[in-house]
Amino acid sequence: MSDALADAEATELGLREQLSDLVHARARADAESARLADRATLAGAHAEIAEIAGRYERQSQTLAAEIETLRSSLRAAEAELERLRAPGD
Amino acid sequence: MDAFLILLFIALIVGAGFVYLRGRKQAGAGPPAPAGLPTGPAPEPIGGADVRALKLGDVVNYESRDWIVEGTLRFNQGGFRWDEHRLVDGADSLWLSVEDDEGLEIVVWERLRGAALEPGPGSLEHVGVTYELDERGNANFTSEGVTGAPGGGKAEFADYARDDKRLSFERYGDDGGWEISSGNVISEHVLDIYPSRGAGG
Repeated sequence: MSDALADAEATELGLREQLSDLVHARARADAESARLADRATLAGAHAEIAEIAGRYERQSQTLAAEIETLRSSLRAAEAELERLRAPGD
Repeated sequence: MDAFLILLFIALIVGAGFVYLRGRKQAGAGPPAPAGLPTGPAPEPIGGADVRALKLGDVVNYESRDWIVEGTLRFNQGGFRWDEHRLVDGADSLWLSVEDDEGLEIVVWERLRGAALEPGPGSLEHVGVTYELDERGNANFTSEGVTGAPGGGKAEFADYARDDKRLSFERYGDDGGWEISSGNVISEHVLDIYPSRGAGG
C-alpha cells in the first residue's frame, strides 16, 4: 500500500470517528434539553432550568451544523480514497 | 560418429532443461483465471467500515438519520452466527440484523406491537403480504447494551419471507412472549458507519 493511500485511509477513518463523537454529543445535548425542558414545566420550577434547556438546545444545533460540515469533509475524503484505489489509465 | 553422438547428447540435455524450466514457470503462475472474472484484490468496503463489525456505540447513518447502536444480540445456532443491533435516534428505534450466510443479508426491522400473529403455519398474511415460512429453530444468544432481552440464554425463532420482505418471531427464555418484527432487506451500501473509538472497531 502506498503512503498516500494509507494516509487517505487514516484521514477517512479519523473523520468517521469524529462524526461518531459529534453524533453522541448531539444526542446527549438533545436528551438534556428535553429532560430540562420537562423539568421546567413542573410547578415551582426555577426559571433558570428553562434557560439551561435552551442552552443545550443551541448546543445541539451547533453540533448538528458541525456534523454536516464534517460529513462534507468525509465525502471529499472518500472521493480522494476511491481515486487512489482506482486502477490507473 | 562420436562427435555426432556427443552433439546429440548435449542437445538432449539442453532440451530437457528447457522443458523443465518452462514447466516450473507455468506451475508458479497458477491456473489461468476464468475469462470475465476480475483477478485483482477484492474491493475495499464502501462506507469505510464493515457492517459485520458493528458494535455498541457505533453510529449508523441510514436514510439521512444518525442512529446510535445501543444494544446488540449475538446469536449462535450450531456455529452459524448472526447479529441484531438496536439502533436509536432520540425516541425512535429500529433493529438491524446482519447475517453472512451465502452472501451478506442486512435487514432493517421494526417491532410490531400488539400484532395478532402466531408462528406455525407454512404461510402467514400480514398487511396484505403473504409470507412463507423460511426457517424455525432455536439458537443461543448473548445480549450487550440495551436490548430488552436477558443477558443471554436460548431463543426460539421463526422467520417468514416474501421477496425482500421479512416477518420474524423471536422468543427469549421459556416463558417469554413472541417479539414480532417486520423487515426489509437493504443493501449494505445504503449504510454509512461512523465507528466509535472503542476497541474492536
